[in-house]
Amino acid sequence: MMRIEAIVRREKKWEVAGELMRAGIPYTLFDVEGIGGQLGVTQVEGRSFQYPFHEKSAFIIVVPEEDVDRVCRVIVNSAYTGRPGDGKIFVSEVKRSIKIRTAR
Amino acid sequence: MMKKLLSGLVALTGVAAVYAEEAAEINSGDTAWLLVATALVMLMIPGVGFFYGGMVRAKNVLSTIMLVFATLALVSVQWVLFGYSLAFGSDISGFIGGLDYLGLKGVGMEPSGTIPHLLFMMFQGMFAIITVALVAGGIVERMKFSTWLIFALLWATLVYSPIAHWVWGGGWLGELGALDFAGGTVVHINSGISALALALVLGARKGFGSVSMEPHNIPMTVLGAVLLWFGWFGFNAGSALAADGIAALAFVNTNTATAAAALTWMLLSWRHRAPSVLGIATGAVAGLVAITPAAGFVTPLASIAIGIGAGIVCYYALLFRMKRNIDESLDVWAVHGMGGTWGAIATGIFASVGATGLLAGNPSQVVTQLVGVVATWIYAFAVTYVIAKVLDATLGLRVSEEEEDVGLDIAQHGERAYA
Repeated sequence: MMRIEAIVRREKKWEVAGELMRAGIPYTLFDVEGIGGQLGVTQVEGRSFQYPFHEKSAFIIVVPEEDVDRVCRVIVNSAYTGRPGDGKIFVSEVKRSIKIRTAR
Repeated sequence: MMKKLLSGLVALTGVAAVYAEEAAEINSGDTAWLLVATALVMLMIPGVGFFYGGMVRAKNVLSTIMLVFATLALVSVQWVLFGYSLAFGSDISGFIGGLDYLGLKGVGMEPSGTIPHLLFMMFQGMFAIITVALVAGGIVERMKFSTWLIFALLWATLVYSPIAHWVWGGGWLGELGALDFAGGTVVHINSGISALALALVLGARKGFGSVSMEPHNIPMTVLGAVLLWFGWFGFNAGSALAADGIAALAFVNTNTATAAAALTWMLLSWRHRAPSVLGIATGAVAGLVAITPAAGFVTPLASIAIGIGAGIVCYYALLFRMKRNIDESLDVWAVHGMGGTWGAIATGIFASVGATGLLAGNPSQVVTQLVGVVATWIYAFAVTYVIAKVLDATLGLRVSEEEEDVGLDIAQHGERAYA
């Protein structure tokens, strides 16, 4: 199993969530704050606004290895704007997973 | 405005009574009540801001509240400079008021009815402001703020003032005998139809229909709705322009019809899915709208019927709007446009106090009401559409896609609602 952690623009949260649901991919989602490459500066139409943090949303998705590329494609397509601040995706290996209801 | 309505009514029913145009003295009780009522109507304006603000996404809540707040400031000044004069100045062909009250020239402490003229002017001013503010509900989350300011100024001048004049300022609708106690036609049909026209020119929000656009804060919307309910006592009971029995009747009818409409909407949403909180709040506003033209003309029992009708009409108007995929975002048309239309017709049906409607044996009142409704629909839609088209071609109505993505709070105002 692989763990995909995608940090996307807060305003893209609904779009990404909708596309994941349409693709039948379960996810966990939380709103996060932080600074990425832009160090807290938001650029809109050439004007800059400085904030202590950028508001982002993080999706955590755990899927079999063969699904990783498909999931990443869905996220990239739905979170993309082409401007700085679109976010990042991290993929890592999951050592164990336990379903609480069945303790397995 | 009761004065104008009554004089129209006297003409209509052929009663030979001579109505005193100007009562000579200021009555302190009436003045005290109207001062309070004017302040109550003012409170409705931020109420609209919160009502709308809760229904948009978190990235646009400040911009939504700002549309309303800036309108409050802008139209307050416009009204004093020339808006009041265009609505209530001496009649020009039944269509618009003259410029005799420009800059409040000749509007002072002398009596207008039994209250100071200045107070009447300010009470009316609050109505003008809230009508413009209501229009904002159709265009949230995508309209350029700078263009909205120009739109608000033009719309208050070219649409609100003439229609207020038609009904209350001595214009042709008042003369015809159309009944509008507190502004069902002038405020609600007018703003509802105009919001639709402006939203049609502006176009849907990016991602409308595919991206979830759930209200981000329903408690805020409920807060706005109860502020509206509270302030509406000033709006309707204040429209008696006196602290008298008619004011008490309007007060009772306002509360009763609103309650009936809220219950109706709750039951409809329950049948559909679950008893919705957003639904009961929206239903209350629909009831407030529908009772507005009737408030001082009907009995409390009739107000229940009007409230139930409002819940049904507006609920299905909202579903119809959604089915047609029109992004008139916060349903100003469904709630104010259709609620106001139902209220105007219902006034013609149920009027029995100081006027006679269908059920009291005067079917022609319904026809008169329909004339008012149709004229307002056509005028408000056409003029708003032209203003919107002109602004779109010159200043541009919409923000860029990038700004819409980021959200108008940051993109237009450089601030965030929630840190």
